[in-house]
Amino acid sequence: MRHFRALIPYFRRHRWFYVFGVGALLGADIAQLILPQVLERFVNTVQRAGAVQSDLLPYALALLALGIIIFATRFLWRNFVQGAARLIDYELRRDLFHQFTLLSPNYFNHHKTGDLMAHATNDLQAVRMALSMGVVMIADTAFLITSTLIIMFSTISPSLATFALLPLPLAAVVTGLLGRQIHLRFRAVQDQFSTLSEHVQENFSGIRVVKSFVQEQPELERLMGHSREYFDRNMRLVRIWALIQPLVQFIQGLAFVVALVYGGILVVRGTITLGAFVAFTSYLGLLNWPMQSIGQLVNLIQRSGASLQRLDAIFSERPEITDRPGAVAPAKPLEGALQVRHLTFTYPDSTRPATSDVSIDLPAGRTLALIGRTGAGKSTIISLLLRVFDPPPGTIFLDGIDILDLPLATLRETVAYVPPDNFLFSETIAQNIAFADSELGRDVIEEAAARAAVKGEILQFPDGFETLLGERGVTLSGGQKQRVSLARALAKTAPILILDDSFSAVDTYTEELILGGLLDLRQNRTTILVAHRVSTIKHADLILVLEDGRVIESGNHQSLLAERGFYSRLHQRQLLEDRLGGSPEGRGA
Amino acid sequence: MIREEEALGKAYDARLMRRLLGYARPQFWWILLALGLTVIVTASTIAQPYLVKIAIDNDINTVSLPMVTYPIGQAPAGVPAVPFDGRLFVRVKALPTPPASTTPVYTILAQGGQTAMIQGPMPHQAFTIKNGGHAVQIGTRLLPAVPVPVAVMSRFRQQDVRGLELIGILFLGALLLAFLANYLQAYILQWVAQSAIFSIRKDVITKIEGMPAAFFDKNPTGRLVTRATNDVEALEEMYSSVMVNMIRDGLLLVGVVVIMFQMNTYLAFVSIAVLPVVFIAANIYRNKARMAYRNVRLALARINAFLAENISGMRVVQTFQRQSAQEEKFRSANGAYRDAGIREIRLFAIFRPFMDFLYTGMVAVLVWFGGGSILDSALTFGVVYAFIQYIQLLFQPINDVTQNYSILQSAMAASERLFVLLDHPAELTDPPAPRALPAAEGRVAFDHVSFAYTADNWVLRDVSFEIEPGQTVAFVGATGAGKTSIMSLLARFYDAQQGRILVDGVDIRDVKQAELRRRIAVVHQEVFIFAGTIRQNIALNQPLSDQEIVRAAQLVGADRFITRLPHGYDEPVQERGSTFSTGQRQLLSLARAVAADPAILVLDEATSNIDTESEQQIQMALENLAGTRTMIVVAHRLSTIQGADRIFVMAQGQIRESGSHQELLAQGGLYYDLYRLQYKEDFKLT
Repeated sequence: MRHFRALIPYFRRHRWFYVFGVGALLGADIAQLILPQVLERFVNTVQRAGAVQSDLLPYALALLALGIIIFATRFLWRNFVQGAARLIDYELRRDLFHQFTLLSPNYFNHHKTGDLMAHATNDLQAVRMALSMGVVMIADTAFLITSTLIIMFSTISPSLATFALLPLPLAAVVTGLLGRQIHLRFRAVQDQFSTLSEHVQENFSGIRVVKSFVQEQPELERLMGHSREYFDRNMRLVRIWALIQPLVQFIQGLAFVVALVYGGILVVRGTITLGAFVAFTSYLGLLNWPMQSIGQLVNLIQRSGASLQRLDAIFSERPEITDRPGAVAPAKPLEGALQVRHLTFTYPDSTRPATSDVSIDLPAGRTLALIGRTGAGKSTIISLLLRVFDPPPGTIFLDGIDILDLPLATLRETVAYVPPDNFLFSETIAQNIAFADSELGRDVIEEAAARAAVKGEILQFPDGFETLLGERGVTLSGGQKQRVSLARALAKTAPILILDDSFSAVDTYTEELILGGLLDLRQNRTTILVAHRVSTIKHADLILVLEDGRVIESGNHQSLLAERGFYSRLHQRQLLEDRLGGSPEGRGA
Repeated sequence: MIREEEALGKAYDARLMRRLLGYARPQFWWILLALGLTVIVTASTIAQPYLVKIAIDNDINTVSLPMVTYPIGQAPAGVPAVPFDGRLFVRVKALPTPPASTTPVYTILAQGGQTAMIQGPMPHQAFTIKNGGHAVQIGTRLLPAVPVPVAVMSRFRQQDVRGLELIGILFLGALLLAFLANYLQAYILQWVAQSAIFSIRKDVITKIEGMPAAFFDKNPTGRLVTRATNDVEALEEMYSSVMVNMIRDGLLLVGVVVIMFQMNTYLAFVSIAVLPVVFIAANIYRNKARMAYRNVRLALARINAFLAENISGMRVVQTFQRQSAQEEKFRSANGAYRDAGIREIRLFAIFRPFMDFLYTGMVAVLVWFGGGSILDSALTFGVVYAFIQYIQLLFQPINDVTQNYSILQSAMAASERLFVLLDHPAELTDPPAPRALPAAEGRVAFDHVSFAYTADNWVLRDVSFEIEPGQTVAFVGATGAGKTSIMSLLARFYDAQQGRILVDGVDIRDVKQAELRRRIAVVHQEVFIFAGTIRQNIALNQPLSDQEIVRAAQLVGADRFITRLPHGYDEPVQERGSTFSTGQRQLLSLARAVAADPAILVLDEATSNIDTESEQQIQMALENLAGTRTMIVVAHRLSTIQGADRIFVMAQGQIRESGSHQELLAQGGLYYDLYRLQYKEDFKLT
């Protein structure tokens, strides 16, 4: 229950919607309560000897008026209450996304995208249900049940009310109890559905192995076993789920039979009038919905409580990387001189340091290259520089300022970054390139694309720079993606440019072309290249060869070749591979 | 390619429907039974208001029915007769034949707890009981009357109480019958639905499993999984509710209208006059609701797409400092969802209350017309009461139609996607009259084979070679040189555009794929470990004895790490083997291949990305296996393949050099360069 407290500010903001909405709801209830009274008087009038048709006019008109009132009030409460729930749903989702933008990249490494999305849709939907139908059920049941009971007991017949209502609490108990069982069995069904999905997924991703070993048939039988279990669990659910509706109808029917027989006898005895009998059966009908919803309400509150708890966990998550207290942007724009002093860093969930005692001194406007095997620590250095993880204090400096003392925004504005995964958004190519600044002119965008050697290919698309990317648009090849991602970084005016393994899907010729284009740009930009190929980095002012987190060789291309160490062997090997002629995009498919 | 469809298609397609119903055909008799039960439920639903009508007209509202008298002891047999005032009173209605019109009738009048009997029928004007029941004043006339004491009244009404009890029992019976029929019907229909989707799912999975490798290159696994899971699931409600609900609603509609006309033609006409309004309103609503619902779904899909992209790209968003810009974009997607939702609410807020209003309005109309008829004695009150109940039943099927419609719509969309998949031609089929492979030898030949994954991107150009049974051959070359493609063609994951591939002298396109693959075991670059135990992963559903499994593991050197596991061969594999090292997983898949005992064993880069210890083990395994069968090895590290009988050096999709290790070194070509380089590197770095 305590998780519902988080909703109070949202609730308060829209309180008038709820006040009016619940007001309208109670208005509709009151009109519904008056209706049987009109029927009662109509019946008694019809029964009276000597009545004429014009005596009935007031009742017909009253019913019509009540119909209009019920229509209007129901229209209003649906709009007010459900509308308010939609507004709160919107605000919660907006705030949730805001929270996502604050959380550190590491948070997203540890939480599956699918789960986070489910919070923003399914969990919010459960909360929205509580905020609309939950509120309505509470107000409606409480008001309708109490007032109907009062009317039945005080104005019709206490003994009739007692006997006829006797079966009704059963309906609430049945929906409540069976509801819980159904919830459990439903969970079992869903679990089996996930199991089935996982195995189908496994089968499809391992299809080559399955086919190589001619295991299609046994695998199919195994999957059908899971499918059969899913079937069985569904039937176990159905066994009680199919019971609820008929059972509740039966219980309500039972109450009606009592009202019919006992109420009929009371009319026969002259204890109540025929009109009162008719009114009583109408009131009984009014109780049907609230009695069922008591049971549903309990489940609804439980479910939305669980959803709120999950949402609460995200909202109370504190970002790991934040501005330090007192971090201020320097008065002068940063130039991009990089210093790294004895950087040793170990990832939170690891015991082995990812970098050990790395030191770099790079004046502004120069080019640094990092090379080494996978896992040598190249990307770690970039991550620390970008503060994806915080480096130890006093290890990384920009223009002599510890990057921990810079506001995150300033640091990120200083750097233009080409990530290794070349992540692009499902927008137009122009929008992707102008990602850093949506105000960028078309000339800047085209120039960046030209520098990244992708402009020609872009112009070949029918829509050119307005080509939509992603699921609903064009799928770019790996090399094209990489170069658009490069153009995106080049379009950003920042003193530091970082290319994190940005030529892996580009052939050597294009790579030369791009690097050549970058040369004049590099004059006033500090550039950091992370690469696997020597050809990428041979023009760098400073090359660091990394192995197991340590710098094992450093210098420029000439001096490193002269050392005849790791670097020169790598160089020879890559020359030979070029001669053997495998191209990175050669495998197609 | 099989694409996701975003827009909502039509709600009914006869062709799709026929195919869908075909899946329910095996359950035909059960469906028929469910229909029978539905008839029972509907009959009970219609009977209930009628029973109340009988109770009101025959038992409850009967105090003033006209009666005739008989001398004591002379009333007709089997008719309730009440002795009072020295005579027997019998209701006219109860008599088998109506009395002569001259026979005097008597009527009991009740007013404010007083009861009095007068001679003559129920007066049409207002009356007052006077003088303690000894007189009744009607207008200005004062009629003589006999007071009826309470005790006698209850004797007069004895038959009514009994009648009520009988109705109560009948009503209870109808309820019980409806309850049982309802439950059974729902259960049977669920069973039918689950059976149908079980067999659809089976067809879908069988179909996908049978598709060639190229199909899996083109269609992301996630999409195929969705076909086999969620899309099939979307059909469930179609089978379990729509199929029978529509029939039930039709029955209900017809039944109610029939019984209305049977009770009173005039009121029936008045009542069904509202139906066109209801139909039109429901139709307008259905169209609008469909659009509104569609907009909500689209807006939600957009939110999901946005979230999926921005959560996985949050790092890019943050490094480009674009949080607020993305929040702004999200706000518009989120706002569109909110607005679509509010439009849907508004639509619902008009339609549902409007239906309620129509109902209340109809009650008002019945009160006016029906009430008038009662006053004219043309109708009994019970009939009006029943009409009020029946009107409510008339509205129910029309409300249901809208719900059925949306279920039908999503079922049609899903089945369309499924049938497109099921009708997808298998690109790589077994020959109509497959040849049998001759006795296993292990001979392989490529005869001028050229191959491209996509048009004109030739990965293999005119490749020819022959491998003798029992030989070990190796393919080396840079990434993309075409080595892996050779292995894929050999196992017939793809068909080459030009040339022939022969296994033991037979073109592999002339034999069954399953037979071909039983002869060839491939250890792939990407190791795939199945959920289950180590034992299951090695045996892969083959009936192998423990010794055979252990022998396979020992042969490849996997035995050592397996026996060190807490449960040995029965150790369950966690999360696709992520707890094992790459080398261990590679050894496992090698053991699996050996356990299959193929004539041809293919190792496709099985030694890349593994630690030196595992590599040495695989090296030893290769030596153990050499000579027992044909072996084809693709390797990055030349050290793995030095013992091969023949080595093919590939570049740009062609075989450039071939020969034994020594021969190739002596040639001083590509192989020689490659070897020198790797040897030096390995020497320096280890």
